[in-house]
Amino acid sequence: MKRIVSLFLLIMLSSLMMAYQASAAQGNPEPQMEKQDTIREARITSDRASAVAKTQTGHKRLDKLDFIYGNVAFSSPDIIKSLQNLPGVSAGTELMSGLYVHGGEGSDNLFLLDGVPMYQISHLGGLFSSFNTDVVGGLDFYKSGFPARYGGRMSSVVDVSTRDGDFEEFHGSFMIGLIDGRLQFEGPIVKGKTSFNVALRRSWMDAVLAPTTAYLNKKNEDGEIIGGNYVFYDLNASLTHRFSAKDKLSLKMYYGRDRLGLSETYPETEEAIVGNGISITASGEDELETDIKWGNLICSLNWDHTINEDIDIRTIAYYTGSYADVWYRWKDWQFETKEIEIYDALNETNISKVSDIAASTDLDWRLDGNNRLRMGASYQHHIYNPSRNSAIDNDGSLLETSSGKRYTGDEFALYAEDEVSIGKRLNLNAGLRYVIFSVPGKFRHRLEPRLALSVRCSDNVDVKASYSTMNQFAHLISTNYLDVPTNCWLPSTKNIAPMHSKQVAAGVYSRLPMNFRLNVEAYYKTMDNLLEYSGSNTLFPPLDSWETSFHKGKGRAYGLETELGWESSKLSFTAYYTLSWSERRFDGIWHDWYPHRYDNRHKLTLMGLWKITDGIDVYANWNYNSGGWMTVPTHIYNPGEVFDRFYTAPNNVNLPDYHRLDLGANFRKTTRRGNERIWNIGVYNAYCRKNVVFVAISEREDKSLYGEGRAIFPIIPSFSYTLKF
Amino acid sequence: MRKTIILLMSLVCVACKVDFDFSDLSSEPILCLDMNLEYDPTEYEGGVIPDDAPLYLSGFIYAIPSAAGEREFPEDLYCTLDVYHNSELAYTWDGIRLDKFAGLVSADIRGLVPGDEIKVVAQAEGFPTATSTIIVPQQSPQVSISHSRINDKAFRISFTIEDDPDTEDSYAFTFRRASIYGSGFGIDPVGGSPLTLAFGNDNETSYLDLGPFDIIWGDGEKLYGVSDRSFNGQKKTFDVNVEYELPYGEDAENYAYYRIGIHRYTPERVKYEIARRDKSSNILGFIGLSPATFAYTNVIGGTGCISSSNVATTEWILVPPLE
Repeated sequence: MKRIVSLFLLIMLSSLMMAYQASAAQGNPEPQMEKQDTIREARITSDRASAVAKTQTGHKRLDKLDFIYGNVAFSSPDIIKSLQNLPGVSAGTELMSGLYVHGGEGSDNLFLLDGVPMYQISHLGGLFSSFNTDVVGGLDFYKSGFPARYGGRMSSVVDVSTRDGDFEEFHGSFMIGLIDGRLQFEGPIVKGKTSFNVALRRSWMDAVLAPTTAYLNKKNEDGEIIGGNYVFYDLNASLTHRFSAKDKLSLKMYYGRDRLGLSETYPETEEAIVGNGISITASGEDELETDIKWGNLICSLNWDHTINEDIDIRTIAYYTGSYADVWYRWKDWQFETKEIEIYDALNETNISKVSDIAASTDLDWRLDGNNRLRMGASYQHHIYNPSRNSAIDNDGSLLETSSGKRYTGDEFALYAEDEVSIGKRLNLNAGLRYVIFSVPGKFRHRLEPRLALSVRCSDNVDVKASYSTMNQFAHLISTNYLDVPTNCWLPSTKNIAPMHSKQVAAGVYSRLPMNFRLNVEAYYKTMDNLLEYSGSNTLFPPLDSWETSFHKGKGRAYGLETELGWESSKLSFTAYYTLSWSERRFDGIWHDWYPHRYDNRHKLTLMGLWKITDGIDVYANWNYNSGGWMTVPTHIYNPGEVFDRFYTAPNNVNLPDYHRLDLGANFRKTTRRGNERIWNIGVYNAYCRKNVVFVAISEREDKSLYGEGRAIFPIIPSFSYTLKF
Repeated sequence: MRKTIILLMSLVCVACKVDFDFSDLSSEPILCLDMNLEYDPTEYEGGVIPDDAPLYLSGFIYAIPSAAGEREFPEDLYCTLDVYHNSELAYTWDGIRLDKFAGLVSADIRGLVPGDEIKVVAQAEGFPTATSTIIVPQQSPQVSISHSRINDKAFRISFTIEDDPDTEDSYAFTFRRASIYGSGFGIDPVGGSPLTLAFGNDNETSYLDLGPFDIIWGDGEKLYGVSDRSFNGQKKTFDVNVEYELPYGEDAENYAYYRIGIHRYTPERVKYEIARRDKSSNILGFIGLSPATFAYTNVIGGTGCISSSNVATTEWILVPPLE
């Protein structure tokens, strides 16, 4: 450990020295003041120029308004749902913040909030993402051609950056929607020197749930009392101080929390024979109570130092942690004889925690107009600490079991990447990342080469290709396909190898006449050391035996992605189409390749936006994808009361296709005081398509099997009122 | 947890329903072979088994209808079972009637020694041929035992086995008890009754407590199974608590005995029983919200499990009196 820390400090020092030497050689001109964006609302930007000009394949930059149009459910715009529209990305379960990129799992994505990894990226089981668009400045999304500065996950990178507060004047916004509200405020503390930016978001379903359940309980004649409460909130806060034109220090924080409480009390009356054929009755209550809390905390200190106009250094020290605390209790009342009332009770607590204490430094050196060098180092100390306690009270006989795991892991990474233009037509981004990961009893290291190449065939056509390898040392251990707080993060160990992916991608990116653009990209990706749960039915992963409760296997994904776009000053239209395959092979399950559950063969997204006037714009999004896959028994043994299912190949049945139309409009008005009001109305799933979320397998009278699909989300209206001041 | 799942299921069941047909499911039925090859442990006291003792292949053959095909079979559905011993046909049983979808198998095969290969082939008209190959396991390991009384209703048994590092094994233990009033009587070697350990309510998987074991199976006499995955080549001590009440009360004339059966299995059996338990309880897997549990099978062309075990039993051991 000491060696790693020493090495880390050495790298930081060397980077600084190199940078200072370079700046001295260039005469160290005074850098210009950072330009302050005085435009309140970001403009819609297109990828027409950027897709052609950049070297990387599979890269998309989303600016602020991209989040707003068409990605609203209930009220809050959602950047994850914006990404779900993109080609090569499967959304997974409807309305969840699933992101299955190029055949990867939802846990294979690196989510960075101002350079800090986030482990938990959603509220309410994925219905809302954790990213508050009031403070998000933009995001870079990579699904192939990963630059060497990114590492730690193997399928995608979502690099979200938030805005600093305004250094010159105060302003903010207030939004109230159907089930949540937001408040954001920013401004100078010392004009031109120090600023803050605070954004708070909170759901207010609890204000509706409490009276609703009270009313239902009052109406309920059988004595059953139910209780339900849910709330989520998150806070983004930043404090930024400019020490000089060269140095800026930012303290940033994110805190997000969800809490779900459920309770049920059910009266029971039972009869028992007490002897001589005499029966008596007695009454008691069955009780069920659940309290689930989960969330994230991120704190980071960022130092941006400009050595000269060509060299910047960013150093971050941070803490990021995620936790989930699931507690539930039930009591089952039984009556046997006059003297004996039996209570069987279960009290269980499941806590999952992961914390990182880390630091990183990145040097960005624009050597000349044709050569940009980036290098850096990072060190993360991981603490994984899931635990479980279960107490079963069986008529006074208490059986208490506890299990838990505590791992500490150290991850150290070094990288260097050089983006260089060779002649007028060739751009190259070559990088290398070296990662060391150690847990007690095991030391691993990996080298990750990254290469991206771009050839300008003409002014309007680029051809690009890339190769990248990624390693992932953290595994989201889950026994199911749901984004639930019972899942826990655990590290690679001596028995669990890190997940690993290799990907090649290539594409043609073109600007066509009449403002059209057409991009076509193909990819092939392999994944190793994947885990698939195999064990008893439980929401809680087995902690003591988790290393042996998962099959180890591999995956492969390949496909073709196209993007056709057109835009004018009033209208814009984008179509994404993906033809893809995603497969898994777990020899412990099946001897051959089989489709991944989100192997959606075809995916088509059509998005349109019409700015009718300066104050009114309307949008429409249509999403279509081939259905996912599910494992259905091929043989059923059910003479009499016995019912036994036999499976052969996994994911052997293709579910119905998915499609939906979202419509919406924004009405803007500027008040006399200069404040902007925005009314957003929208409809999710406008024609009420019943898209299947899960499927029960049923038998008809003629014994033939059929799927009884359940569509949870029909048409959903959304409404919000925003005031910008 | 089961209640929570049911509550969640109830909530989502009020949602919209969409029915659709499954296509591309196979319409061909299969045979399920569920058999074990073992000496009859009740015949050989103390693990002393004669060289020419037969091993019994016993269990069931099931006809499993395809989910997409015919769900009923003709009443005169018969199956043929061939057993090959080191590639030579050793036994043929023709005309096993699969009445009510199941046929009972009981065949004795002589001259087997540990390491021999046994191949079982089952054929029935309209079904793919089902085959499975197993190796007769080595002798069961000796156990060392200690025990102590916990209170007047329970005592603890600690027993240790040493695993063979060269083989992948699994074990299953059986426990029997016998009570004698007065000291002048012996115990019938096949007597006693099954002893149930003080855990292992495997019907309620949410509160599953298997003690030191991986799986419990069997009707009547329970088999407490464990694979050697976590102690391959090492000694392993098992501590189990046994609820026990002397039928005639705690006095000098009232003796209680127990003994342990040690079954050294080929690894297939424990894998199969674990997968069977997990599969039947995987409610989320049934509706596609968690991975479906695939029943482990070592039967090619069908499903099920053919396993083999070698058994030894301890002597009857006197339960220590309460001090």
